[in-house]
Amino acid sequence: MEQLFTNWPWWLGGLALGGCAVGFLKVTGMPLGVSRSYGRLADAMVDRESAARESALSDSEALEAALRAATAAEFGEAALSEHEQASQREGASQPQQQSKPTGLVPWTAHVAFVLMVIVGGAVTALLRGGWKPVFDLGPEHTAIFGGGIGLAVTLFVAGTLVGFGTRMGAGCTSGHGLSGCSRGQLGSMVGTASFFAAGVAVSFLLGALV
Amino acid sequence: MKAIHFKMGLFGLLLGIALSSIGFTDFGEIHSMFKFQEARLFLTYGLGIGVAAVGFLVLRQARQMRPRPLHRGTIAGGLIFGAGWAITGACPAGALAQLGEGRVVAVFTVLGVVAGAWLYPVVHARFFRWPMAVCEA
Repeated sequence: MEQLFTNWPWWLGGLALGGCAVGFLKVTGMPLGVSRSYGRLADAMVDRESAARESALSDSEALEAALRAATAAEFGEAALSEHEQASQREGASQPQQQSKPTGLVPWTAHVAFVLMVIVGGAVTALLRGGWKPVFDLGPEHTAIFGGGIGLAVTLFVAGTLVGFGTRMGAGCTSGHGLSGCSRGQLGSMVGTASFFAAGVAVSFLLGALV
Repeated sequence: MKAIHFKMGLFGLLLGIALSSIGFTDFGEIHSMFKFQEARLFLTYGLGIGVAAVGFLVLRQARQMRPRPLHRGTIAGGLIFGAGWAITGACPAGALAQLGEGRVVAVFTVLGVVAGAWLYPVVHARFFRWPMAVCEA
């Protein structure tokens, strides 16, 4: 069992990756692209923050008082009372409901996707004969980067490069590679060549430094 | 929970199993690919692209996906991602599968990827003058 789920031969791995890309498109109607899920997660976090700020402002009586004071300072008390009389005659207009962007799957579906990739890794470990926590990325990684706090910082910073770069380039190994190169898209082919080139260069550099 | 949650969850599970079983989550395997010591992962990835190409043609679904043209962030973004990939041994999906396998330190990689995905639009709005490209994958 352990050998069945370790280092699949290239033909099996290729069929699995290609199958995931084609199946994902067939079933969800979207091309496979994992960096997009991270982008949606990050955006959802920012949107929640701004929504919380907005509701705090709209609930606050202090905000209304501050706006009144600012208006009086700018245009004078006479203008303010004139405006209030006018708006009482017309009746206060209801604030319009903001329309949601359509055509996007809910960000929680991206959460489900991301969580299940984690579960997929765990299932593989179980199929190999048992899940157990380890605190490194293998002997080759430890030989180069060591462990402890330094390792955590290194992985966080390099992870930031992964998130930043895939968003800047608008694609990663799945979006550019599997979903883009397979359609002969120029941006994807140049993007894929770029991340492989940097991967090769940095790996040789690391080898020379250690 | 809607149908899309289950559909994306199912393919997340399959992708996670595939990446771990291939060894796309194994720093040693990634490192030997980048140093041209092992051809297996290059062949795997190349065949994956080929299978996807045939699949998209057979299903006649290539056209429903948006084009992915070259834009001003393509090369710089790719180079930055590649550097991070070589250090963490993880592409965005690989980091998640590493974590699932029990490689606990990969949680720092995952948090870093989220932080980077949050940071880029901020930096873009401040410094870059071109329209931001979106991964429609």
